[in-house]
Amino acid sequence: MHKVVFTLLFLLSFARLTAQKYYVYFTDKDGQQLNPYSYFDEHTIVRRLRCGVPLVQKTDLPVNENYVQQIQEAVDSIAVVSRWFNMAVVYASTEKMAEVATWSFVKKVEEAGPVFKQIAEEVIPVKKIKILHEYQTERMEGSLFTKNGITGRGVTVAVFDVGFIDADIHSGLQHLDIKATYDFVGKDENPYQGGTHGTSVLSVIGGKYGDTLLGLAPNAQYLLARTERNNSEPAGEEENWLAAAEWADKNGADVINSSLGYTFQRYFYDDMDGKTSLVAKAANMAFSKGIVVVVSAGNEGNGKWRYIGTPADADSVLSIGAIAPETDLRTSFSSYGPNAIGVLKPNISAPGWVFACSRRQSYTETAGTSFSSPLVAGFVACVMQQFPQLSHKEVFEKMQLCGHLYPYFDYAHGYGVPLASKFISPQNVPKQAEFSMELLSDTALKFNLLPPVVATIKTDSAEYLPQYIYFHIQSTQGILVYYKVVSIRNEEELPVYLELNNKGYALQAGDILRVYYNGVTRQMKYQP
Amino acid sequence: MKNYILVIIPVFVFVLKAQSQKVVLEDNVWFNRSEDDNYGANKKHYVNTYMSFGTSFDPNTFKSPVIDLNEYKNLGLYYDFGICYKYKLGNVLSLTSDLSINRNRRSLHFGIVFPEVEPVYNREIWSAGCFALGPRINFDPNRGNAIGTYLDLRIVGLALANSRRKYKEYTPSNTPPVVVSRGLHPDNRLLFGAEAVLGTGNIALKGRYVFNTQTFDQSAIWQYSRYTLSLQIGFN
Repeated sequence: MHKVVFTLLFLLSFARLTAQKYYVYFTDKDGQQLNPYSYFDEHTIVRRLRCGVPLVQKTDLPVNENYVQQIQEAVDSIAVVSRWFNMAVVYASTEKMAEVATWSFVKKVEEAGPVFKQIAEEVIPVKKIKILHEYQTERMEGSLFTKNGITGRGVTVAVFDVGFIDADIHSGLQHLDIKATYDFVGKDENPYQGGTHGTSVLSVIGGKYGDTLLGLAPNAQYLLARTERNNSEPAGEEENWLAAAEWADKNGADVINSSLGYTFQRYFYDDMDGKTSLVAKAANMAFSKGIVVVVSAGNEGNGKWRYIGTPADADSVLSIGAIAPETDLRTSFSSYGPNAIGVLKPNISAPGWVFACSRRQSYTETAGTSFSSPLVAGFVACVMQQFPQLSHKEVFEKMQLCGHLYPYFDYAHGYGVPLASKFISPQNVPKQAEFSMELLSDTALKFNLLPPVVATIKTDSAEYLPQYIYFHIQSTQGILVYYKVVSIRNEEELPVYLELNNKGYALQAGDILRVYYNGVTRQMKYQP
Repeated sequence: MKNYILVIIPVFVFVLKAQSQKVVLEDNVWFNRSEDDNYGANKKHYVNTYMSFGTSFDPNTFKSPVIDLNEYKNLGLYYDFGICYKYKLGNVLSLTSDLSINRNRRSLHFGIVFPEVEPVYNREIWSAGCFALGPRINFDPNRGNAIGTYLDLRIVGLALANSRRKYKEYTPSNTPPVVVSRGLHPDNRLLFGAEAVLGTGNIALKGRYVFNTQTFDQSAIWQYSRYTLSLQIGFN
């Protein structure tokens, strides 16, 4: 009997060969109309006006029903119909699609990418951190927001995830205003299934632990979308992501948080250019509609892949890396940037070890860039409440400007952790140290603090984080060729001589050497 | 003088660095990028492990040239563990080489029946190492970084090891039968054959034919099964 079952399973696995998945793009939307005031949520109208996005763009018009109808009759099934890309995701035989491709209203037919198991966001058990639930928001100076009554009110955050089990009953989430929900996997309105990953993610955007905020936006409105299956993907999750983004746009989302990413199981690193994957294109399109898209960089930093996944590769997306509470540096798992064409990724970072809601009424300590991203999404919601006049592009830029390392950056931390003080009272942000830098040779840089300085170095005790010197070499093309972080452990050892191990790359005239220390960035141009 | 300084400075830097600073993060982006960034199932060099379960069989019966006795072999239980290396030539064609160990167990019964002497328990157990080499044809050239749907055609070399026959042998009355294990001594311990693997993603169907002495002489005994059919699960 078991042999029969094996055989059947095997044959079933081949069954999809007869019905492949295709993207069918249509030529036009002639004659299609849309009343934005009846179709879009009121919030979408306000957001578009604020961001300078037309209320009705061609990409918002509905797909021609006649086209869809004719396609429907020809193919096995239609999975998704996208207004943004004027296309349908269909299952059909190769022969049938060859015929469909010749139809006059069909612009092109693309074979969809392979549909294999997705890379699940890694959840790593961490050791107990006594005040983790306070640290995760306070590292971003979140109390400055809350003291000023900024809690994301009036902002709508859409969360795309694998499932939100018990998010509807958890005491730490009961205060949240859930505006709408949809399960794009099961095609119903119940996303409270599939896994607790989304529950934890939601909680670090706006959840509570007692009176302590786990995320910065408890008073935002939320749209919950289940776009992923747990651990496997029998049908395209990227198409679900696209459909969810269109749904979020329609329902007034200001921010999308997506703690999801796709890497080596579908793509090469060369594909991480922000233009290749459907989900990256969808994320860019969402941004063009005025939505700020916040995405986790990925947990491949200590794996063979090493780099960010997609849609974190999209240039319009705020890609978020993870830092560790003990070191304030990139966690070992946080994926490196840049994207395949050299665009800075991750853009900023946030704590990657968090305290979050979990199944039933429980809380858990968990880790991953999955949780850095929602922390930033909550931060973005606060920024939008504080500065409602800002467009999506301005919010994107300001989120980078408020990184604690800015204007320094690297491919491990981006511009660093966003700090509320840089928004709330930028004029009061103290410069904490002055230093000098001197290039001694092509392989050595001398760093010294200027008086009165030495007192600013905190010793390497348990109470203080180490003091770090960050420095990088930026080529004339704007791409980093080398970067490094060293900790100062002994104030008597100043000056510090930094070794440049930029093997394989000879410094060229015009290259920029940039050093960051304790709130101050200095740079010099290399002249041989 | 300049050269002298260039030598001294790194030494000086190294000594001071060891005392006063600790490198906590370093990324030589330029150097790392010059290495092969492509990682995954569709990259140029790719290695994966697998296991498979299935059955082995040999439709021919042994016909004794001496007495009127036929030996029938039932379907056997076959399983193996292996590692496969793929060298990608293009999106359609690759070369694969495969190293595996397998185990193959079959029960037997005889064509003439002497109830009082026929063993109630009679098995052949074969263990073998296997090396296979051949092309892989992918049917979906636009598969991104996935394994896709493919057909492997390979020539196979098998080295037999630890081949045994176990059976219960009746002893004089009032004593329980004992299990006897005897080594088998096939004519050839090195066999050759061919196999085809039709797969999609992590699942594949593997069929193998091995030439043994019985292929040419039905009176040959103690032969490794010529046919194997198994379901393979890859770990990619």
